[in-house]
Amino acid sequence: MIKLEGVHKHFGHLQVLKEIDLQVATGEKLVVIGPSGSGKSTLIRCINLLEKPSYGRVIVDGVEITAHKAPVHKVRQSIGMVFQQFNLYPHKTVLENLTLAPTLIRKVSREEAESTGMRYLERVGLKEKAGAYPSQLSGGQQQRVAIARALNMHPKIMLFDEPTSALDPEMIKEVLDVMIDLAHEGITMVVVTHEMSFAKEVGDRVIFMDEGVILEDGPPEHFFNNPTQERTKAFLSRILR
Amino acid sequence: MLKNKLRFLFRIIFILVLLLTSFGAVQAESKTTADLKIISDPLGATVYVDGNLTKLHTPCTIKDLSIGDHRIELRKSKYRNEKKVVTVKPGQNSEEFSMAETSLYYMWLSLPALLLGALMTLFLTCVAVFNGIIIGTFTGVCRVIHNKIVNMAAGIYVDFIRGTPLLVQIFMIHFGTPPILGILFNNGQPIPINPFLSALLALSINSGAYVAEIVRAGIQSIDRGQMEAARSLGMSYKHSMRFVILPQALKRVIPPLGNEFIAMLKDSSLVSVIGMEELVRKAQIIVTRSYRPTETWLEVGLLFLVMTIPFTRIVSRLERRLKVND
Repeated sequence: MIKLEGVHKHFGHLQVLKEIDLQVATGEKLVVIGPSGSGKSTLIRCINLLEKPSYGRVIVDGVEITAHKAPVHKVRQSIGMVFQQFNLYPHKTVLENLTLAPTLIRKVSREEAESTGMRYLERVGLKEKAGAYPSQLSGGQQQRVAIARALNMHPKIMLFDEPTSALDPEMIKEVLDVMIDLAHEGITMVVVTHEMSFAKEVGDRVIFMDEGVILEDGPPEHFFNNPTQERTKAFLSRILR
Repeated sequence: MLKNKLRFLFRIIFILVLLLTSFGAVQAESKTTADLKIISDPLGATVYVDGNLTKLHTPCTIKDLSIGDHRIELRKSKYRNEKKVVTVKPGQNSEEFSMAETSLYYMWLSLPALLLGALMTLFLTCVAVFNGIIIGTFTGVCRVIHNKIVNMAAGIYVDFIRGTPLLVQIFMIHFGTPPILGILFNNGQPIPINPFLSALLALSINSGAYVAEIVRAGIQSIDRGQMEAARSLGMSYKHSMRFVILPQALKRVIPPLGNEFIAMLKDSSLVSVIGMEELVRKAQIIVTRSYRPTETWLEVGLLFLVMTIPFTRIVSRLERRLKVND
């Protein structure tokens, strides 16, 4: 489903990703873990080309989006993304946040977009907030709306870039619950997170990144129980205590 | 005997003359009224004596006023009247009233012409800022999109306008373009531009550059994540700009646009130099006729204040309201 081949990314002299090769199968739940500054956010943003790799190829659903004049918009429509800072449109109501992209680019009728939108809002437990503005919602609610907004485009892949990092502790669970519920659906997911419980419970596969390189790649049991690299052990000992 | 008779006659005549003269003197002293001549500058005032309308026009002579103090009041209009207590003495009396226009009366007189000028100033400003918003929004967007040539063209326009005095821009349009138009369309004979058109053109182009900077700042003040969110959903740059970024940016741009309006209201006075009859030009014309610079320019200043203060209030209120909503 997702294939990264020799992806490099540097900002000026700073090398953020070094020769990344990665494949994610359809329906796979990949969890990306790593200390801050390790390049995991850049990696996930390369998948929908929010960051353009300096060189290397990114192939999503059989389309090489790094190619010249690739149909990037088309491919992005099938990749939902959830950001750390939610990034809801503050000038639109919750329901309008959900319906804007489908009506504009999928040319779905307003009624249809609203009815599917309401379904997704119900699923994330925010049906009654459809007419509210993002500023009237709590962080956890906003993040659930952001998930519903991505889902309303009916994506094949969902990318989560630290979705719970900006939330107060008591709101993390409501967002994780929605994500776990989504994982059981069979959608392909790539999740950058610091929530180890989520990695253990939902992840099919965990990769550990440090300094732009993938150090560990394997099922969560393997990753948490017998990591191969010293760096990984040090990281885990600090996180898990 | 004859001598005695003659002496007697003389005595009688003497006494008669004495009597007559003394009688005349008594008669002269017992006259109890006198006339009062009234002159005023300017002429044509109505005269009230002791509160009663007496004469309709100066100069005039009020006859048979009793000797003594009188309250004399001259009225020319609501703003020009003068009161005096005049002591009337026997014989001829005359009194001069100086009724030069007071400053306040003068300002009242010149107000209609100046108001007409102020109306023109407001009109010029409104049209210029309206055009400026259209030009500026377009140019502002041109400054942020990813196209080097468009960026550069917009940048040159903005830098040129912001880097040169408005006065020079007005001259360039009013005096600089007629020869070019002439070469293009009139066999080298310059085509003069009407001051109204040059004024509108210069102010609109000028306002456009400033609005462009306001719009650019507004767009760049929107969080990057907004664009990323829209793009990640598959929206094109154009769609994201139009439906996500611009609506938010334009809301933030409203208060600075109000300030631009106020600035333009004041700067539009520069078009007076090409003979556009707005507030300042009107005042110049009035001063050359009246020799009353102090009152006229004070009045012009006050009129500008009357126009700008309400807008300043509206802008600060908008700023507060938008801050709450953000």
